[in-house]
Amino acid sequence: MKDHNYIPQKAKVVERESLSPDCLGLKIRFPKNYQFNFHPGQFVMVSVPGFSEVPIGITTAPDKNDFEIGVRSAGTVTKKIVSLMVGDDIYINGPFGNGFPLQKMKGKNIVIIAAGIGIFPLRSLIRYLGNNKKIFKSLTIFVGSKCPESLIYKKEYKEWEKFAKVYTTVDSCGPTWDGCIGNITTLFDKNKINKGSLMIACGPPIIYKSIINRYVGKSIAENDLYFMLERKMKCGVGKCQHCTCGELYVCTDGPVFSYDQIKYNTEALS
Amino acid sequence: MAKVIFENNLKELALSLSKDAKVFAPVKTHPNSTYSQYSFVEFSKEMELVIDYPTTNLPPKEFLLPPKDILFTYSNGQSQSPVIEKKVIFGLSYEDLYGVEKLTKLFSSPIKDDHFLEIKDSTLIIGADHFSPPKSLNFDLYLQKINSEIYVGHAGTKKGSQILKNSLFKNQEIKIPKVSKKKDLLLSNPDLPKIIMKSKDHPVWNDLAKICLGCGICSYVCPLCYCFEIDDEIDITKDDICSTKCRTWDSCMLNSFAETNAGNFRGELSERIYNWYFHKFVRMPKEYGFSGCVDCNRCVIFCPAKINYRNTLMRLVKDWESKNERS
Repeated sequence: MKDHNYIPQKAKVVERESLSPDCLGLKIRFPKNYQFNFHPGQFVMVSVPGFSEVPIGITTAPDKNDFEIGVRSAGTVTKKIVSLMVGDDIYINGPFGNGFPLQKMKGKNIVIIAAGIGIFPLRSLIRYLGNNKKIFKSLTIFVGSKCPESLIYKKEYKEWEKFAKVYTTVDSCGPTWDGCIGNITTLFDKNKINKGSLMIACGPPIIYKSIINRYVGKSIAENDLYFMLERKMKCGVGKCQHCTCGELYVCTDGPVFSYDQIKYNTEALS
Repeated sequence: MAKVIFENNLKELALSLSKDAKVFAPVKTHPNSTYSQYSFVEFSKEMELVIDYPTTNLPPKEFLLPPKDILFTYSNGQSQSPVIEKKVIFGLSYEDLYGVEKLTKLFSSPIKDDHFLEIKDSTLIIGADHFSPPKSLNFDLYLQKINSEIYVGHAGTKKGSQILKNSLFKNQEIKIPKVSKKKDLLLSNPDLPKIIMKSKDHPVWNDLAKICLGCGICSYVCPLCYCFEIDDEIDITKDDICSTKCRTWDSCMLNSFAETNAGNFRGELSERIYNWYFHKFVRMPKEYGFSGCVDCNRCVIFCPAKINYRNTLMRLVKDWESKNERS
């Protein structure tokens, strides 16, 4: 691992797009000649001078010079970040974390489960798989959201459907929605998945419990089930102690963990 | 031939070092305190050096990982690292030397924390205690107390050897006694990590939560509690955007420590207390091969609820042993 001096790299916001009533997508560009390599599933520490920094997942595949992040306006820092305009400076440190197990995906049936803003980091994986269709056997994407308006990246579903089956559900809706209604487990009931699939989920911990009850010991092996954990992260390099779960650091051992890694970890799935 | 210095010359030695660097030495700062009367302060000639003190209020961590430390400053879109000043920490006890040693290892791997190591490299470490100089420890100079008047200097680095050339040190034939610190059977119990790892459901954590105030003082006074927060501070008196990225002490005992927008992952005090012990006696041994305690006793002295970590450990060990005897 490289040494760390906590000094971030200055970059620019080159595009901004409203993704839902409280979420924004930002495209970020580093200065020419700055090397920035990442794996899908890694995150960056994003800061604006005077407003501290927050860990944010990368939402694009590592195929271009720019990269994108998705931000939900929630706290002081994220509120500042969503107020940034095209041309504004933004400061980036990273990438940090392990990323998704891409090597294990070869020849596999892959199931992606995204609840709410859990779609942000998973979009990086979906795009990566879209660029590398030959490596996997099939791809199923379950997306759940509170309402149709907060279904993030819905414009991209058509593109995703070229290489994946995409199923969506919303908790509640108006009369114009003709899709599935109910929480994300509704999709599990309606759509069978192949035994031996590799499953990756990101969302609130409560859905992880449903996934474990539903699939572990039946169609998914414990080491083929992956969860992304969210914790407070301040340093990104396993020092500050904020993100620990028992013996694990979410920022360096994760944020992507297989179920067999955290099965007996009393803090991970709390 | 040993390099010997008389106790009444130690003050002069400390002052001689202050020509090149800020010297922090133990002084009686709180004569009426029921906690600790001594602190490391920037030493000057009107002060009285107290080399044989029970313990200081704050550990030497306060100089290597300051309570509030500027990592860098932004001004006009440029970041600038702070100038690290030269320091001497004079008169560290045996336990505090261990604290410095372990703290340095914590910030040296698996990634190197450049900022911490820069501060450490600019700091001269001078220990003083009556034990023989421990071989495994890194110090620049160690002053071993032989009797009420005499200290023998042991150099640990080239910088330490240079100090021994000071005329305050005399060459003298002297028998240097071997004084080892007694092995602490509780803290060196090899089963301790396993016992604590498996004690999550032990009633001790709820019992402690009933009396603990969750104030975090045990972390602040610990030579090895190093969890930190990183935040920005802004200078509104300047026209240009000028902000500083600060690293400040934090404590895993505080309610906000694991709080996110998605919820508080350690909302119960009993969970936070367990994590405090888990870090010191499970996570740190696994990561670095040593526990996060040097037995300096500061957390016991300062705890407003009079919690003694040794009682907690003893209860866990005792229950573990009696459970194993039964099975």
